[in-house]
Amino acid sequence: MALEISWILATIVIYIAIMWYIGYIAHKATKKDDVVSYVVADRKLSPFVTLMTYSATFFSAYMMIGYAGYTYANGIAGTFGFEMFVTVFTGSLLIIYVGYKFWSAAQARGYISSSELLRDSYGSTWVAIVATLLGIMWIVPHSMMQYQGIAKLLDGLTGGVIPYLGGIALFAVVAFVYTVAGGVRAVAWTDVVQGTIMIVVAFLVLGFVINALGGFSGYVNAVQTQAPAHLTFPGPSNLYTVVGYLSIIIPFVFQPLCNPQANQRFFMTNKRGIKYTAFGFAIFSFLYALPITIFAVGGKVLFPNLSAADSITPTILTSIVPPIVALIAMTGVWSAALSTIDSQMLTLSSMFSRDILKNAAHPKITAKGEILSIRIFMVIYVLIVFFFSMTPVPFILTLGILSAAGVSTLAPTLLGSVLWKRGTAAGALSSMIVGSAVLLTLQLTNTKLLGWAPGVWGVIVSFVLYFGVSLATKPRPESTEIHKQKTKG
Amino acid sequence: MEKSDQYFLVFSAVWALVYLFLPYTDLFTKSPTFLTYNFLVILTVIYIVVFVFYANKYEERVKS
Repeated sequence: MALEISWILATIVIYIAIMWYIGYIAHKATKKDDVVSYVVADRKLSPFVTLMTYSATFFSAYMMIGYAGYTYANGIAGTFGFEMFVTVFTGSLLIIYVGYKFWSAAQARGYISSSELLRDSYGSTWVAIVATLLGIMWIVPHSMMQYQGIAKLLDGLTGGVIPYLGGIALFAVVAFVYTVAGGVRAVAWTDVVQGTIMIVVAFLVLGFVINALGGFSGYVNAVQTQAPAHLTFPGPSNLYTVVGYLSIIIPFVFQPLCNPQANQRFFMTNKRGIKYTAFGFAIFSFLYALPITIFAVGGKVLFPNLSAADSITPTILTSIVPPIVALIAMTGVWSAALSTIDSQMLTLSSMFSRDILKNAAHPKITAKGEILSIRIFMVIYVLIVFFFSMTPVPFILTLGILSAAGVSTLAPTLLGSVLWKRGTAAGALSSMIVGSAVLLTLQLTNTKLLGWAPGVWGVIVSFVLYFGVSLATKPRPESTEIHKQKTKG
Repeated sequence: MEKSDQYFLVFSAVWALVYLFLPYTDLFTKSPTFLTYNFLVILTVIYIVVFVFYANKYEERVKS
């Protein structure tokens, strides 16, 4: 069931019009030349909007494309298991135990980025600069994953009428326009729409896959007889051995905290917003991963011999789903990608502007100048990501794993900033720099020491150095402690 | 640390061990059905429900 190109274009135009209209409304609601208003919405996002923007930002195109592809290739049990462990389990714990402390510190000291918090906590501008630069470096692969997800889908659905690079360019411009205009309100409000579309679309596709296999019992029988290895550990490709499973989980477990675009959400809301985000994120991730894993393994039965696992969702959309539903589903993938791209663009730009420009290089910059620099950096960031996305990778989830592993090397520094007062600037710097260097070296040389993935070693080295160097160096002064914002009792 | 924190952390630790390693036992690996998946889904729902109660308790103790 091929999609008419005219319908695809019409859908894109309508979608862009809605997003840009929201961007316009957000622009009207944002105070002029006010960085707090532009970057953290005056810290007044409602709990519901906060949980939706956190969740939609966290989940990206990798879910409908890469994650579905991973389920197709490696089985449903391990793929569902690792995602739920990372989001429902560690995500909830990190948001409740660290998110509140970040929120509390930001309320007291007016932070707009986690690097600012690190600067005060460790009493070192270098800690903030290094965290910002590494944050940018490790988020680039994640942004690439979004653009590649959208571009592959559009290329596949239109049979090359909208080519790979054209798809990347189109959505880069879409996200850029509404984010530049409306700041974080545009990002958060579009995230509410995009997050809703993401969940609805996942269940919609699931319904058609189950229908194609003759109903629910037909689906269960077909999968159990035709893809039995997909239902148990270690999966059909033997990926989810204990070591393989933990090699995927460990680099991801700190992602709900370490992604700069995720932890900036803790600065945008009220106390209740943190709680809603903690359990709302768990519910959102469950409702999103459940239908995707079920339809992807159903896709294995329907289309057992795809040469590229990532093409399972586009194949389902073009083969068994009516064109009108496929169009709606397409918007679900765009939404997942855009909701992440926009947040990454704004968060990283605001970190660059605040932590490198204002707090280090040019302290006298005005609010107007700071907002201008944020917008200029957004342009640069989009161009960098576009350049690196020109050559697609076979499994886009590979980019996600690299990015998650990279930001996880910041975990000890972020956790220690509010949970361990003995952590020092030297410990933080050595942890971030050496941890990232080790990860990058192992990744580039494709080395698996003792059978463990590079991401695991990156995390281990960063934690060992953080504790070791901190204990070997002079404690930070009392004045830098932001641990004093504690809970009652 | 309050009692509720201690109970919740012990529950979380046990949950994590069961969630990560029980699917590797023969009971699950020798059953090429949706048993493993259903088991993980049920454990996930249990964790979310317990966490919602705990998060409500925890919020009451956070200073505004």
